[in-house]
Amino acid sequence: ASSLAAGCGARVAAYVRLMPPKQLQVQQQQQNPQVLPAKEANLFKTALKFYNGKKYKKGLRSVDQILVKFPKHAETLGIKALVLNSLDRMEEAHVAAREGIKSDVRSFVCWHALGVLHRTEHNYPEASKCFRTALRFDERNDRILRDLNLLQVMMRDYTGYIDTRRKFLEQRPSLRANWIGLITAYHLAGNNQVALKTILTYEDSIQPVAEPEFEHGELLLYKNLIIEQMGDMSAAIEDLNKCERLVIDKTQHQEIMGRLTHQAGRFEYAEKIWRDLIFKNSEHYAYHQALILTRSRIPYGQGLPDLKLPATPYDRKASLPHLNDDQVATLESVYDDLAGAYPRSNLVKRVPLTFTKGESFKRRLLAYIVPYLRKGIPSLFGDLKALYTDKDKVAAIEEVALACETSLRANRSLPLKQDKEGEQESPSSMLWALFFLAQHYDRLEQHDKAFKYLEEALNHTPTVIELHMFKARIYKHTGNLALAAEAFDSARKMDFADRYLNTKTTLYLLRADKPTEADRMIGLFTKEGENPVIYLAEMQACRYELEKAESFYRTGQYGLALKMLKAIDKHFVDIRDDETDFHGYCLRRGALRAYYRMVEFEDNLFSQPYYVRMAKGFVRTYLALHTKPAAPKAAEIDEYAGMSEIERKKAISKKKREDARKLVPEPKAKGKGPKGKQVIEAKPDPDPFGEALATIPDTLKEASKYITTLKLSVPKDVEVHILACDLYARRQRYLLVLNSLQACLKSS
Amino acid sequence: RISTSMPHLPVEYGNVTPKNVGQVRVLNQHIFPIVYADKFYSDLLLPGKADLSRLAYYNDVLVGALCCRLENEKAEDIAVVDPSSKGVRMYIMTLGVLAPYRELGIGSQLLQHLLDLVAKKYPHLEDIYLHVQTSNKLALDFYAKFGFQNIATIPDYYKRIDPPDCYIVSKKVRPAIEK
Repeated sequence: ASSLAAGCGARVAAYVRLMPPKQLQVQQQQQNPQVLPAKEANLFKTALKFYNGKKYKKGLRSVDQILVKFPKHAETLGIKALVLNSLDRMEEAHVAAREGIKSDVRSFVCWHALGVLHRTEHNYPEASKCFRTALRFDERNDRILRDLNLLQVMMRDYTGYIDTRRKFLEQRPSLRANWIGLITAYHLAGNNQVALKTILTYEDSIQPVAEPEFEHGELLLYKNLIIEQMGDMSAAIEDLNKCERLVIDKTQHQEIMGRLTHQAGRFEYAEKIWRDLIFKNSEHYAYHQALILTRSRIPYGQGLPDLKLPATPYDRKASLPHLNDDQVATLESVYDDLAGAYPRSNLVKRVPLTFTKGESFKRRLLAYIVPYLRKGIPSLFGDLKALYTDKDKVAAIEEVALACETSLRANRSLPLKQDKEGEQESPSSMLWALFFLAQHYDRLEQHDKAFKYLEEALNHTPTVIELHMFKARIYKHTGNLALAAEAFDSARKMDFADRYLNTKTTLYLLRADKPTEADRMIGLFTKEGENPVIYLAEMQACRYELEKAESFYRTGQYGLALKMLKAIDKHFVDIRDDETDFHGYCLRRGALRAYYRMVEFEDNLFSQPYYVRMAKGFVRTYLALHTKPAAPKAAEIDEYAGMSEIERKKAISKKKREDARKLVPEPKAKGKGPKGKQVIEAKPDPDPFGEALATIPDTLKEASKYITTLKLSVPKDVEVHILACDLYARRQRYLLVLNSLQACLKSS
Repeated sequence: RISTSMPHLPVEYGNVTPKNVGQVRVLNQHIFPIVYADKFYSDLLLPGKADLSRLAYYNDVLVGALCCRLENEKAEDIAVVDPSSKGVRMYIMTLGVLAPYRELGIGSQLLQHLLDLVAKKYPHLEDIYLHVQTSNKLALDFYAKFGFQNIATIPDYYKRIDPPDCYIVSKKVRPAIEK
């Protein structure tokens, strides 16, 4: 509000300077009720100072003092509305703003304030209208223009956004930020050609850059991204070559060059680049993936399943396209050379396991496994897990692992030819071989065999925490969730300082439908003095809230489930809101490509896995409520089952005390807030059991809102369409049911 | 990999902390036929008692542990039936190594460390002693190597295992006082 202050303050200051003698003053004041006499004018200045300094209560007091004598002073009313907005007193703020507009319909302060109010309430179209109106009365007001600008990009109103960005540029063409703003505006709107033209115009207007520096280098890479998106690979490559000297991030530059030349079909050139990058960093998987593709002369993007953004064919998750024997042979010799060149690289030994077959695969696998067993590296199975999609490889892995086991049992040696004679493996090699076999059979769903191996491993060395963790996991896989939670807890007790064990135990407890215990468990590691549930909500711990919601759903406590889901919904609203900070920040910092990716991310927010899971959860819960509407009282909780009468009474009264505490969550200690910041107290929870959410009149209508969002954001998800079928059938919209069934067939 | 001729395992040592005491419990429960109560483990964590226990790790896995306590520090502490003992004694509560890791020098290293500690920090002790089940020949030979001797026998010392009798195996620390 600094410009606003400047705007009003200047006017007030002007009035103050021309202070006429008292009689004239009174006369003037009677003629124009918008002019403030000296005392009130000072109060106004103070109020603005308080508002800018975030001392809202003091600002409110000053403003109210002015209004005592001048209740219809529009600008004061506007400031009052802004202050009340910051104090989260929205109804009063609206009243003040409207009063102000009524007294002076041309007051840009009041229109601006009203716009801010609408913005706080996420009513962006209304906010936009108000800002525009304010601008009509004060065209050059920088502050209002910026607010409008931000709003336009939040609403993705690119036409308006480009318009305001152009205005900024026209006002101050010497400011780099204004150029960047306009360029990104065109790019976001999809108008790459004009964006490119603007960059070139900007480059012509500035002094040629002598040394590589971050911001300009970023701009050049950004320009290259724009050219690449226009489709002309050779133009992009040429441009990339030209800007190499001035780009600071050489690795990035090289990676882009490797990718572009691969896309353009220049395999040999691309291969050389990727080899060079492997020289810089042999442990980056994407480089190896790219090397395999370019060496085998496979076009970029060939034979790829439909990938989600922003994956590329170089992604670890992108499976290799089919390679013929010649290609495999070539790659094997390439990697044998690389193994010689980078003897300490782990990835250089691991990557060949993805494309080799038969005896060669077995040989390499054994050589890979033996050091892991010797060193006792628990993550061996996790490392090889990705190979399990190939049946032949699974059989080979089993063969090799069993051979190791046999050999260790027979003479405590591994079946790999060694140089030194008269040496044995350490005792722990057996342990890790047994552990690996347990995990192997568990993956193949032979849980009994897995358990047998695990028991033997536990008998061998019971102090290995990973074994206890895995025991719980086997229980989970066999559906024994209560035992799984217990087993994981005993693993946790072996190391109380381990946060990972604590978190996993919490999640296992939630899966076993023990939410109260889970809260207590996670509370062992949350911030001291704060209610863990509230703390986790502040931290936007979606996974925890989702698991809890799903647990409540399973036990039929739909109100509580909906409450948790609503909390997650709010997180996503907050993520969308937080976007406002980044529009300014990224551009100020010059991180243009990251900014572009951020906007893409925000645009695709509703396809994020947590959001999809939450939305599906909403739909399922509402469908369940439709089948069996919620009773007015909170549902009986299963946790009291199996207790004696006395225990039950104790548990119920304890719960009542806890719920009473929940209603008034611990307020933040006022004295401890950062200096100058007024702490807003947490509101008491108006709906602790989610009853309000569970007893809405038309649950199906709510559900269809979420289905509509999901159909747009994840159209290929079969589950979404199945839920949609169910929903539409209940609403008797049979054409839509047919539609959804067709979509199911298409996606599967 | 370790040599078959002279087996020796590279081991790291550590102390009992509230963080890892759960692992020590798992270790002891696995090795010994006696289950020790919670007080046993909480006593290990008492201030000033850190050097009375020692943990042996191989590749960050706990494979062995030694747990001792001082006795007769105050006069009320009742030692076991041995009329000649009057002074402070070191009692070995548990000394054990997981089966696959035995005969590789770990137990010896733990015990030797204790002997060195006593020589350096507790030279005023009467002796170091412990109870060994009469049937446990391996343990008896092990302690004999370090100069421990059987000084008494207690019949029916153990409640739930067979044989229930035990030896008191002891090694004198301070030189005998001239009478």
